[in-house]
Order: sequence, then C-alpha cells, then structure tokens
Amino acid sequence: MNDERYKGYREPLRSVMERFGVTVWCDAIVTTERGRFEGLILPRSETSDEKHLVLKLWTGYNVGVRFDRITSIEKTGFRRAEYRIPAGEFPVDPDKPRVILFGTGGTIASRLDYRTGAVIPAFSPGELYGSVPELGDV
Amino acid sequence: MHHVQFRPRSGSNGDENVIALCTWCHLEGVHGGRLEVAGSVGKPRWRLGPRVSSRNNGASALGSAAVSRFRATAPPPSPHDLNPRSDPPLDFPVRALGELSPNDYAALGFLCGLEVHQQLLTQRKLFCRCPAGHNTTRVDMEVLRHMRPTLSEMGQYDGCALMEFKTKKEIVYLLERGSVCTYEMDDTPPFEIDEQAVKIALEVSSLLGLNLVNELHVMRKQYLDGSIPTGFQRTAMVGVDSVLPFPGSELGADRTLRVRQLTLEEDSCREVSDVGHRIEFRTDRLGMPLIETVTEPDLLTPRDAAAGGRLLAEVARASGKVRRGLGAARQDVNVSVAVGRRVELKGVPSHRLIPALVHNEAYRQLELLRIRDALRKRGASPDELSLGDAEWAWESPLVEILERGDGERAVRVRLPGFEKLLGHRTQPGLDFFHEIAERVRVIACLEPAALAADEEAGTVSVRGQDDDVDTAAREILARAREAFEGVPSETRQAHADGSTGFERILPGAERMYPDTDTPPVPISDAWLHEIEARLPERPWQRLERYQQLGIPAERAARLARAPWAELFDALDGGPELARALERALPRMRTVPAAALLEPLLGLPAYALEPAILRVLHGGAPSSVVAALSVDDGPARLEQRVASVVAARGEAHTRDPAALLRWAMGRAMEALRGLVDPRVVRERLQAELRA
Repeated sequence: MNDERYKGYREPLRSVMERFGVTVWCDAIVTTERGRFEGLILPRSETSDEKHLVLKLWTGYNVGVRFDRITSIEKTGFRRAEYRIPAGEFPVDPDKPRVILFGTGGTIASRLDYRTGAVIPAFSPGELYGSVPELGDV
Repeated sequence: MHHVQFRPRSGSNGDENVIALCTWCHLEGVHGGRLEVAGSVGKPRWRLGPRVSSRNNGASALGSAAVSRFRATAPPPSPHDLNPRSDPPLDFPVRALGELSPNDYAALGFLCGLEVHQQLLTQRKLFCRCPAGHNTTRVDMEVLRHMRPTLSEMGQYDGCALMEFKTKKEIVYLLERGSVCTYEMDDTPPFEIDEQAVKIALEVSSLLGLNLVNELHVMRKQYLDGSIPTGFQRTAMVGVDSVLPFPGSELGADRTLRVRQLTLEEDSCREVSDVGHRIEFRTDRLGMPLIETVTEPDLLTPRDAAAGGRLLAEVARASGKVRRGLGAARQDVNVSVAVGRRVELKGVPSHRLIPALVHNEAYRQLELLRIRDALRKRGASPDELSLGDAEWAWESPLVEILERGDGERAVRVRLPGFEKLLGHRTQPGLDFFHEIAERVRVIACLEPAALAADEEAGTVSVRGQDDDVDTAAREILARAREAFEGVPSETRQAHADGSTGFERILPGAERMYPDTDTPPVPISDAWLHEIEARLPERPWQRLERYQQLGIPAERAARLARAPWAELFDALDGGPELARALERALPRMRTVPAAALLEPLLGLPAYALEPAILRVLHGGAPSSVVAALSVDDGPARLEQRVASVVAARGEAHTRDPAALLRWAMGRAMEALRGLVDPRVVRERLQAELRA
C-alpha cells in the first residue's frame, strides 16, 4: 500500500501496472481499444477511485484511463518529477527589526501533494522566500 | 456591516453608506488593509490587495526589484514548436497571396494547424450556476486586481506568465449582477462541472472519432493577461488523436486532417480597453463552456487553412448544440515555415480572414530568417546586446541617457549589428522596428509614439517613466537578441487587414497544473452509450449522401453547410429541391418549418422556387399550390409568346441573344411557375427566328 513505486494506486490498477512493468514517473504509451495516450504516469490521489491510471500528456494535460480499457502499456522512459518549491536563502538585513511570518496558505505559497491531491503550504522560510521573493522587499 | 465612509470621517449610519460584508472580509479584509471599498453603496468600487499610495514609491506589491528576480530567460521552445525543415528558402521571392501555388508553399516549408474555439449551447456556465449566453454591457460594480505567476506542478515558471507579470497591469473587471457570481471573481470554489457541457464535448469528440479519456482531470492553465480573474483557465482533456476526411482541401479530395485533441474549458473575459497600465474587461462571457479542437499541422496552403476551419466548424455544428453568431466561434491559427517556429495568430473571428493572415505570417518568418542571415554574415553576436548585471538599464554602456526629468527620462539603446536592419520589411507596410515597438507596447505599456528608431545607426530611443523605460530598454535588447534565432515563439494578434502584432510569448506546458478544487470526473458508460445511440451524421457522410441523390458536387457541398440542410433532409427531397432552396432561401432571414413547404413538393420542378418564394412572402401553401396548378398552361404560353413577339420592337436591339434575354424576361413575368422555362425559351427562339 505504501510502496512509492505505485503511489496512490490500489487494485485492480496495481496489477495492471505490475503486469506491464511500469511504475509512477514512467514515461509510457498506454494503448486502449480506441487509440493510445502517451505521457508520464503520475501518482494518484488516495481519495480518488481505484479504477483510473493518471497520465500527464506532453501538452501538460492530465487524463485518467480506466484499467479495463487498457490493452497494453509500453514503458519508454523514467523521469521522477518532484514538485518542490526551490528554496532560496532568505536575505537578512541586520538594520531591520525581526519579524515573525505566519503562513496562512494560498495557492501561490503552496505546492501540490500527490498523496491527497491537495496543495500544502510552504513551510520553511527558504520555501516561502522561494515562492514569494517579494518578501525580501518588505 | 461596513461603513464605506468611515465613522470617524463623519460617515453616516444610513443605508447609503453601509454595505454588507462577511466577518472575515470586513475585519481582516477591509480593516486589515487587504481590501478597499470606495464609491457609493449602489456602485461600490472594490480593490483587492495591499493598499499602495502611489505606483512609483516602491511600496507596490509588484515593485521593480521583485520583478527583476523573475527575470528568467524564456525556456527553449518545445520540439513540437519547431518546423521540421532545416533549409531556409532565403532566396524565395516576395509574392502576394494568390500568386503562389501549393508547390510554392511546399518550397517555403509552410505548415499550419488550427485551434478552433466553439462556445457550447448550455443553460449554465461551466463551473457555476450563472446563465450562459447572457450578453450585457450593464455595469453594477468594478473589481481591481493584480496578477502574479505561480510555479507549475513540475516546479517551473512559465515564460509567458513571467512576461505578463512584467507588464504590472492594473486589471479592472466590470461586473453585472445577472451574469456573474463570486466564482468568477475567485471568491468561491468551483461547483461541479456542468454535465450538459461535458456531454456536448463528448458528442463532438465522438463525431471527430477521438480516443476519449475515461476520467476528466480539470487543469489550471495560467493566463496572467487578466482575461481570467483567477489567473488561470479551468480546462480538461476530453479526447485525443483522430483522422478526418478532408474533402474541402485544395490539394485533393482524398486528403485527411489529423485532430490532436479536444478540450473542454471556460471562456475568458471580453476586453473593453487597454490603455497604459490599466486594462478593463467585461465578465458576462467569462466562464461559459467552450470546446477547443486542435489539429496537427496538416494544412499546407493558406486556402487549406480556411477549409480546415470550416470542416471543424461543420462537425461542431452537426451536433446542433453549439452557439452561433458573433464571437461564438474563434480560431487560433498556428503557422511556421522552414527553420521557423510555431507562431500562434490569436482569435481570428472568420475563416475568410485566415488565408491573408497566414500568408503574411509565412513571409514575416521568412523575412526574420533573412535578418538572422544578415546578422550572421556581419559577424554580430547576441552577447553584445546584454546589459550585464546593471541594476537600471541606463547603467549599461549600451544605453545612453538623452534627457532626465522627475521620475522620467529619455534614453537611446544601441543595437550593435543592426545598422540599416531596423527598416527591413517584415509584413506589408511594416518593418523590424515594428517588431520591437510592439514588444515594448505590450510589455512596458509604452505606446509606439514613445519610441523612435535611427535605422542607419541601428538605435532605438524611448521616453517615459523610469520603470517603463527600464523595462522597455530590456525588451528592446531582448527582441534584438531573439533576432539571432530567427523566429521567436510568440502569440500574435490578428488584424482584419491581414497584418499581425505581438501579443505575448508562446506559453508552454509549464503553465498547466492540476486544479485541486475539482475532483476527477469519471465518464460513465451510460453517457457514452446514450451519445453513441443518437450521434448525428458527420459532414463528410452528409456530403456523400447528397451526391448519391444526384446533387452536383459543388451544390452538395454548399447544401451540407447551409442552415437549411436540416429542412432539406426533413422534406426528403432531391436535386430539384436542393436547387430551389438554394435559390429561394438566402434572401430570407429565417429558415421556414418543413410543414410549411411540404404541400409544395407535388409541384413540377420548375414551379418549386416560385412556390417557395410565394409561401415565404406570406402566401398560404394551399392557395399557392392551387394558383400554380393550372391546366391551361399551353394556351397561356401561346398567348404570352404571341404578345411578347408582337412587342419585340420595345427591346431596341437586333442582337439575337440580347433579344432572346429580353423576351424571356417579359414572358416569364406571366409564366413563372406555370410553364417550364426551357419550353418557353424554345417557343420564343422559334417565333423570334421566324
């Protein structure tokens, strides 16, 4: 269940993925009865159903393909992408008073959590600065 | 309750000064400095974001120092945006549209693909309960916003989003109560996606033969130009990959057109005005369901590009569930030539405009490649066009200050290598300096009048406020550096005269991230069966059926596209009815009901057109049929022929052909619908010769 390679996928899709030798973050060509989808296999949110494989197409769109429509999956590559906020070094100006920052969420200062499909807020000062560099001007 | 004019500033407790707000918005928003309300209670003026006293005091949330941190270089173009040919046809002569054959366009490496946007005929908008198709110019209130880019799911900023951020626009939305709610203003999460819209999108996808996805994933596509208040468009992939028959192609009736994808998305705002740093939008159209159909670059001539657009429009209309009329269908046209890159011409409202636009764009790319060639031959380098790490543009030796005022200045930007190149023609009547001026207009918000070029010396001077001049100088240099690559990836505004202007940098896949507010939507088998069971005829199938009825090919093609095609099918007619409808109906504003024309079908073929016209002008079908069903036709014919022949002197001509035309006109005035015109002509010919 907690196997990172099949993150978020349960039966029956898990068996399909094992059968065709693919895991999350595989570039793959998924063939269905009516055609094919080419993209990156993304982790699935735990709160979504167990029937659909999520692919990110090269156009940036995500799509779900139902397990029983899949006739084959061909692995063409692997590229693990982690959605991380690039942490920056928070500039410190000793002449200015110390401040305390309260993170109250919001999309800008957040990153996506594939496990739940939700966004989680930036926590470290570096992450917060990386996503909202205007803070350095305050 | 909030007092618009604060109590300490002698604001009253009366209805005219008190406005309802939720607790958070009131205490944390207005009194916390995050939200401002001004004006009257009847027409309040809301302002989101931290309070700023003036744009130039550096306290703005979007100060120039912050902007400079985002000054990343645009990512390299996607391989999908590169023209596959690597031999630039630099010696190709300049020719107007209509002077080139399909082989010439092949020599240019011309490739074109379409993105056709079509509004759907639904009751409601895509993600809220507001009515769709409620056009209005009424304004009940205004909202002001700023935009800021966010990281994609892969941790990247999109080049296009960064560019829009650099423009530092004040974006004002004009709202009308009946057509928007808090969803469009991003104050309420989306409702579930409109089921009616999903079904129509599935139906059109099925008509196109696309491979349907089994679960819709709503994505957010960043749009920081302000046309969508949330800063992103919600959009979902519905189907991918199909091959359509393309009988309308000028390259042969056996051609095909590949469709890459169909997406279901929200429509954007209508732009009202864009002056300086302030842009205004109407929001009535915002959020209406729209399908976008994208083709592969299979259109190989300008005329084919227009024909491809017509084909996709016909498929969408075959569903009977799409909106018609002004603005309901628009296309983005993608063009490249050999060594060029995909350039997107945005929002072309009519297929008629496509050929001139794409022809001119093909030549613009060719001319940009000629400029690239000239720069290379001179040994010029883009490295000489860099500001280095200058904090302000004018600290670089490339930028000379001409004049300084209070917060304003005029500078001259040197472009080494561009001597005598700024005047190089790029479009009919336009030159390379126009490329630079457009970039500055859009990104630094400076009108072309603020710029001047010295073509001989290869310099551009610009005047305006310090911030804008700094941005402008950087953009002038950036555009000059791009000249070394040839064709920059960009989207361009299409003008009715066939020219185009810069709109924005071409966005990439980086601007897409999943919408965390909407769950994935599984497509049920029941929906698909329902759609498959009543799938209408596809346009090419209809065309084939008409041809099999004996209708000549060109008329069959026109009929298949005509608004009265449904009427023709309902009347179950043949070639004569097709001809009669085509002659009678274009003069009418509306297509009549089949029941009205049904009684006329027993009339002879030559009586159909006059009978239809009489009915359309208010004649009762039964009396029209009675008037045209006469048994003394031959007698009337002889009588009329005799009187026309007797009056032949009135024709004032001895030319036999002209005389016959005159006589036919005279005779048919009395015989239309009663006698076959061919018989009338034969009798007149015989009598006039005698």
